Amino acid sequence: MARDVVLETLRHAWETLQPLNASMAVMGGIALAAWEHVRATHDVDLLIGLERAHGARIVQHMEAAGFKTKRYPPVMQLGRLDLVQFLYNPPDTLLDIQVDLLLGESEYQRAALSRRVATRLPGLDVELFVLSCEDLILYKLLAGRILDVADCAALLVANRGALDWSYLARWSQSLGLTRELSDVWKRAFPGDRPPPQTP
Amino acid sequence: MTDRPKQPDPDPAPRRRMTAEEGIALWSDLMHTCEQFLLAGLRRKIGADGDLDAAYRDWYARRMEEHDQMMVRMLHELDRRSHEHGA
Repeated sequence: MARDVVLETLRHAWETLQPLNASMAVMGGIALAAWEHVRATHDVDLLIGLERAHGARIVQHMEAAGFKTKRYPPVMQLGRLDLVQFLYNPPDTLLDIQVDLLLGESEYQRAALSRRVATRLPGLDVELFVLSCEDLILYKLLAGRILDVADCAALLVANRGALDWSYLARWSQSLGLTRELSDVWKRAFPGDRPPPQTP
Repeated sequence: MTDRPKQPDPDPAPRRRMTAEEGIALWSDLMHTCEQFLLAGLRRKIGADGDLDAAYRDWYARRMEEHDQMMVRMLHELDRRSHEHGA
Protein backbone atom coordinates (compact mmCIF):
# COMPACT_ATOMS: atom_id res chain seq x y z
CA MET A 1 0.00 0.00 0.00
CA ALA A 2 2.67 2.53 1.04
CA ARG A 3 4.53 2.32 -2.25
CA ASP A 4 1.43 3.21 -4.26
CA VAL A 5 0.43 5.95 -1.84
CA VAL A 6 3.83 7.68 -1.90
CA LEU A 7 4.17 7.41 -5.67
CA GLU A 8 0.62 8.62 -6.19
CA THR A 9 1.31 11.57 -3.91
CA LEU A 10 4.49 12.34 -5.83
CA ARG A 11 2.68 12.15 -9.15
CA HIS A 12 -0.12 14.41 -7.93
CA ALA A 13 2.28 16.99 -6.45
CA TRP A 14 4.41 16.97 -9.60
CA GLU A 15 1.45 17.48 -11.92
CA THR A 16 0.01 20.15 -9.63
CA LEU A 17 3.24 22.15 -9.66
CA GLN A 18 4.06 21.72 -13.35
CA PRO A 19 1.87 24.64 -14.51
CA LEU A 20 4.05 26.99 -12.45
CA ASN A 21 6.75 26.41 -15.11
CA ALA A 22 9.57 26.13 -12.58
CA SER A 23 12.45 23.64 -12.57
CA MET A 24 11.74 20.84 -10.10
CA ALA A 25 13.58 17.78 -8.90
CA VAL A 26 12.81 14.92 -6.54
CA MET A 27 15.25 14.67 -3.64
CA GLY A 28 15.24 12.50 -0.53
CA GLY A 29 14.67 8.78 -0.29
CA ILE A 30 12.94 8.18 -3.61
CA ALA A 31 15.72 9.97 -5.48
CA LEU A 32 18.32 7.78 -3.75
CA ALA A 33 16.74 4.78 -5.43
CA ALA A 34 17.35 6.35 -8.82
CA TRP A 35 21.07 6.17 -7.98
CA GLU A 36 21.13 2.53 -6.89
CA HIS A 37 20.72 3.14 -3.17
CA VAL A 38 17.38 1.70 -2.20
CA ARG A 39 15.92 2.26 1.24
CA ALA A 40 12.46 2.80 2.62
CA THR A 41 11.05 6.32 2.76
CA HIS A 42 7.57 7.57 3.40
CA ASP A 43 7.42 11.13 2.17
CA VAL A 44 8.04 13.26 -0.89
CA ASP A 45 10.73 15.94 -0.99
CA LEU A 46 10.94 18.30 -3.93
CA LEU A 47 13.34 21.10 -4.78
CA ILE A 48 11.62 23.77 -6.84
CA GLY A 49 13.30 26.69 -8.56
CA LEU A 50 11.08 29.48 -7.30
CA GLU A 51 11.91 32.38 -5.03
CA ARG A 52 10.36 33.40 -1.73
CA ALA A 53 7.97 35.80 -3.44
CA HIS A 54 6.19 32.81 -5.02
CA GLY A 55 5.44 31.09 -1.72
CA ALA A 56 1.83 32.24 -1.51
CA ARG A 57 1.18 31.21 -5.11
CA ILE A 58 2.58 27.74 -4.46
CA VAL A 59 0.38 27.32 -1.37
CA GLN A 60 -2.70 28.48 -3.26
CA HIS A 61 -1.95 26.08 -6.11
CA MET A 62 -1.37 23.09 -3.84
CA GLU A 63 -4.41 23.76 -1.66
CA ALA A 64 -6.61 23.91 -4.75
CA ALA A 65 -5.37 20.40 -5.60
CA GLY A 66 -6.23 18.93 -2.20
CA PHE A 67 -2.96 19.42 -0.31
CA LYS A 68 -3.19 20.84 3.22
CA THR A 69 -0.44 22.99 4.67
CA LYS A 70 1.19 21.36 7.68
CA ARG A 71 2.11 24.57 9.50
CA TYR A 72 0.99 28.12 10.02
CA PRO A 73 2.34 30.28 8.57
CA PRO A 74 2.75 27.78 5.76
CA VAL A 75 6.10 29.04 4.49
CA MET A 76 8.93 28.36 6.96
CA GLN A 77 11.73 30.83 6.50
CA LEU A 78 15.10 29.37 7.46
CA GLY A 79 17.51 32.21 6.92
CA ARG A 80 17.32 33.00 3.25
CA LEU A 81 15.84 29.61 2.40
CA ASP A 82 12.21 28.56 2.49
CA LEU A 83 10.45 25.29 3.22
CA VAL A 84 6.74 24.65 2.66
CA GLN A 85 5.26 21.45 4.06
CA PHE A 86 2.02 19.87 2.91
CA LEU A 87 -0.04 16.82 3.78
CA TYR A 88 -1.98 14.89 1.21
CA ASN A 89 -4.50 12.14 1.76
CA PRO A 90 -4.82 10.04 -1.42
CA PRO A 91 -8.28 8.53 -1.92
CA ASP A 92 -9.06 5.43 0.17
CA THR A 93 -5.93 5.64 2.32
CA LEU A 94 -5.53 6.13 6.03
CA LEU A 95 -2.34 8.20 6.00
CA ASP A 96 -1.70 11.82 5.18
CA ILE A 97 1.51 11.67 3.15
CA GLN A 98 3.90 14.53 3.72
CA VAL A 99 5.23 16.61 0.84
CA ASP A 100 8.08 19.04 1.48
CA LEU A 101 8.91 21.76 -1.01
CA LEU A 102 12.28 23.46 -0.80
CA LEU A 103 12.36 26.71 -2.66
CA GLY A 104 15.58 26.89 -4.64
CA GLU A 105 16.84 30.40 -4.07
CA SER A 106 20.55 29.98 -3.48
CA GLU A 107 23.26 29.75 -6.13
CA TYR A 108 23.92 26.17 -5.12
CA GLN A 109 20.26 25.18 -5.39
CA ARG A 110 20.07 26.72 -8.85
CA ALA A 111 23.19 24.78 -9.87
CA ALA A 112 21.65 21.56 -8.53
CA LEU A 113 18.44 22.12 -10.47
CA SER A 114 20.37 22.78 -13.66
CA ARG A 115 21.89 19.25 -13.39
CA ARG A 116 18.70 17.34 -12.59
CA VAL A 117 18.16 14.08 -14.45
CA ALA A 118 14.97 12.99 -16.23
CA THR A 119 13.31 9.71 -15.26
CA ARG A 120 9.97 7.94 -15.34
CA LEU A 121 7.96 6.45 -12.53
CA PRO A 122 7.11 2.76 -12.79
CA GLY A 123 3.49 2.33 -13.68
CA LEU A 124 2.78 6.05 -13.86
CA ASP A 125 2.80 7.85 -17.16
CA VAL A 126 4.69 10.91 -16.04
CA GLU A 127 8.21 12.11 -16.70
CA LEU A 128 9.90 13.75 -13.78
CA PHE A 129 13.38 14.75 -12.68
CA VAL A 130 15.61 13.66 -9.81
CA LEU A 131 18.60 15.46 -8.36
CA SER A 132 21.95 14.26 -9.64
CA CYS A 133 23.86 11.80 -7.50
CA GLU A 134 26.49 14.45 -6.70
CA ASP A 135 23.83 16.85 -5.41
CA LEU A 136 22.15 14.16 -3.31
CA ILE A 137 25.54 13.51 -1.73
CA LEU A 138 25.99 17.21 -0.97
CA TYR A 139 22.50 17.53 0.54
CA LYS A 140 23.10 14.45 2.65
CA LEU A 141 26.39 15.89 3.88
CA LEU A 142 24.49 19.03 4.89
CA ALA A 143 21.88 16.98 6.78
CA GLY A 144 24.66 15.26 8.70
CA ARG A 145 22.80 12.59 10.72
CA ILE A 146 24.35 9.16 10.92
CA LEU A 147 21.63 7.94 8.55
CA ASP A 148 22.57 10.67 6.05
CA VAL A 149 26.26 9.84 6.31
CA ALA A 150 25.40 6.20 5.64
CA ASP A 151 23.36 7.29 2.61
CA CYS A 152 26.36 9.27 1.34
CA ALA A 153 28.65 6.31 1.70
CA ALA A 154 26.16 4.06 -0.09
CA LEU A 155 25.83 6.56 -2.96
CA LEU A 156 29.63 6.78 -3.27
CA VAL A 157 29.98 3.00 -3.37
CA ALA A 158 27.18 2.50 -5.90
CA ASN A 159 28.24 5.34 -8.19
CA ARG A 160 31.99 5.60 -7.72
CA GLY A 161 32.88 5.23 -11.37
CA ALA A 162 30.24 7.60 -12.66
CA LEU A 163 30.52 10.62 -10.36
CA ASP A 164 31.56 14.07 -11.52
CA TRP A 165 34.35 14.58 -9.02
CA SER A 166 35.25 18.07 -10.13
CA TYR A 167 31.66 19.20 -9.47
CA LEU A 168 31.67 17.48 -6.08
CA ALA A 169 35.01 19.06 -5.20
CA ARG A 170 33.89 22.51 -6.31
CA TRP A 171 30.67 22.57 -4.33
CA SER A 172 31.95 20.74 -1.29
CA GLN A 173 34.59 23.46 -1.11
CA SER A 174 32.07 26.25 -1.72
CA LEU A 175 29.80 24.91 1.01
CA GLY A 176 32.58 24.13 3.46
CA LEU A 177 31.94 20.38 3.25
CA THR A 178 35.40 19.17 2.24
CA ARG A 179 36.17 17.55 5.59
CA GLU A 180 32.77 15.84 5.69
CA LEU A 181 33.18 14.49 2.15
CA SER A 182 36.68 13.27 2.91
CA ASP A 183 35.46 11.52 6.08
CA VAL A 184 32.66 9.73 4.19
CA TRP A 185 35.09 8.69 1.46
CA LYS A 186 37.35 7.09 4.06
CA ARG A 187 34.41 5.20 5.53
CA ALA A 188 33.17 4.08 2.13
CA PHE A 189 36.57 3.02 0.80
CA PRO A 190 38.91 2.32 3.69
CA GLY A 191 42.52 2.51 2.53
CA ASP A 192 41.71 3.90 -0.95
CA ARG A 193 43.04 7.26 -2.02
CA PRO A 194 40.33 9.77 -2.98
CA PRO A 195 40.11 10.86 -6.63
CA PRO A 196 42.58 13.65 -7.50
CA GLN A 197 39.91 16.36 -7.78
CA THR A 198 38.60 15.76 -4.28
CA PRO A 199 40.07 17.56 -1.27
CA MET B 1 27.89 -27.16 -6.69
CA THR B 2 31.52 -26.85 -7.83
CA ASP B 3 30.82 -23.87 -10.09
CA ARG B 4 29.95 -21.66 -7.15
CA PRO B 5 32.63 -19.06 -6.25
CA LYS B 6 34.64 -19.79 -3.12
CA GLN B 7 34.86 -16.15 -2.07
CA PRO B 8 33.93 -12.68 -3.38
CA ASP B 9 36.02 -11.51 -6.31
CA PRO B 10 38.14 -8.55 -5.12
CA ASP B 11 38.27 -7.18 -8.67
CA PRO B 12 34.85 -7.92 -10.15
CA ALA B 13 34.05 -7.32 -13.79
CA PRO B 14 32.25 -4.06 -14.60
CA ARG B 15 28.54 -4.46 -14.02
CA ARG B 16 25.62 -2.96 -15.86
CA ARG B 17 24.34 0.08 -14.01
CA MET B 18 20.72 0.08 -12.92
CA THR B 19 18.60 2.73 -14.62
CA ALA B 20 16.80 5.31 -12.51
CA GLU B 21 13.50 3.66 -13.43
CA GLU B 22 14.76 0.26 -12.29
CA GLY B 23 15.98 1.76 -9.03
CA ILE B 24 12.62 3.32 -8.28
CA ALA B 25 10.84 0.09 -9.18
CA LEU B 26 13.08 -1.71 -6.70
CA TRP B 27 12.32 0.93 -4.08
CA SER B 28 8.63 0.34 -4.71
CA ASP B 29 9.01 -3.38 -4.02
CA LEU B 30 11.09 -2.70 -0.93
CA MET B 31 8.45 -0.32 0.40
CA HIS B 32 5.81 -2.99 0.11
CA THR B 33 7.93 -5.54 1.95
CA CYS B 34 8.99 -3.09 4.67
CA GLU B 35 5.40 -2.07 5.28
CA GLN B 36 4.36 -5.67 5.84
CA PHE B 37 7.06 -6.03 8.50
CA LEU B 38 6.20 -2.65 9.99
CA LEU B 39 2.54 -3.60 10.32
CA ALA B 40 3.50 -6.94 11.84
CA GLY B 41 5.71 -5.15 14.36
CA LEU B 42 3.02 -2.65 15.25
CA ARG B 43 0.46 -5.42 15.67
CA ARG B 44 2.80 -7.25 18.03
CA LYS B 45 3.28 -4.03 19.99
CA ILE B 46 -0.41 -3.09 20.36
CA GLY B 47 -1.83 -6.58 20.69
CA ALA B 48 -4.58 -8.36 18.80
CA ASP B 49 -7.28 -5.93 19.96
CA GLY B 50 -5.32 -2.73 19.38
CA ASP B 51 -6.14 -0.16 16.69
CA LEU B 52 -3.62 -0.88 13.96
CA ASP B 53 -4.60 2.11 11.81
CA ALA B 54 -4.12 4.48 14.73
CA ALA B 55 -0.78 2.89 15.57
CA TYR B 56 0.32 3.28 11.96
CA ARG B 57 -0.71 6.94 11.88
CA ASP B 58 1.08 7.56 15.16
CA TRP B 59 4.23 5.88 13.87
CA TYR B 60 4.11 7.98 10.70
CA ALA B 61 3.64 11.23 12.65
CA ARG B 62 6.69 10.46 14.78
CA ARG B 63 8.76 9.63 11.72
CA MET B 64 7.77 12.88 10.08
CA GLU B 65 8.70 14.91 13.16
CA GLU B 66 12.20 13.41 12.96
CA HIS B 67 12.24 14.14 9.25
CA ASP B 68 11.20 17.76 9.88
CA GLN B 69 14.05 18.25 12.33
CA MET B 70 16.46 16.95 9.70
CA MET B 71 15.05 19.26 7.00
CA VAL B 72 15.31 22.30 9.24
CA ARG B 73 18.85 21.42 10.22
CA MET B 74 19.84 20.79 6.60
CA LEU B 75 18.45 24.11 5.40
CA HIS B 76 20.01 26.00 8.30
CA GLU B 77 23.35 24.43 7.38
CA LEU B 78 22.92 25.26 3.70
CA ASP B 79 22.00 28.85 4.52
CA ARG B 80 24.85 29.29 6.99
CA ARG B 81 27.46 27.70 4.76
CA SER B 82 26.26 29.54 1.66
CA HIS B 83 26.57 32.78 3.61
CA GLU B 84 29.98 31.99 5.10
CA HIS B 85 31.48 30.63 1.91
CA GLY B 86 29.71 32.88 -0.57
CA ALA B 87 27.89 30.03 -2.31
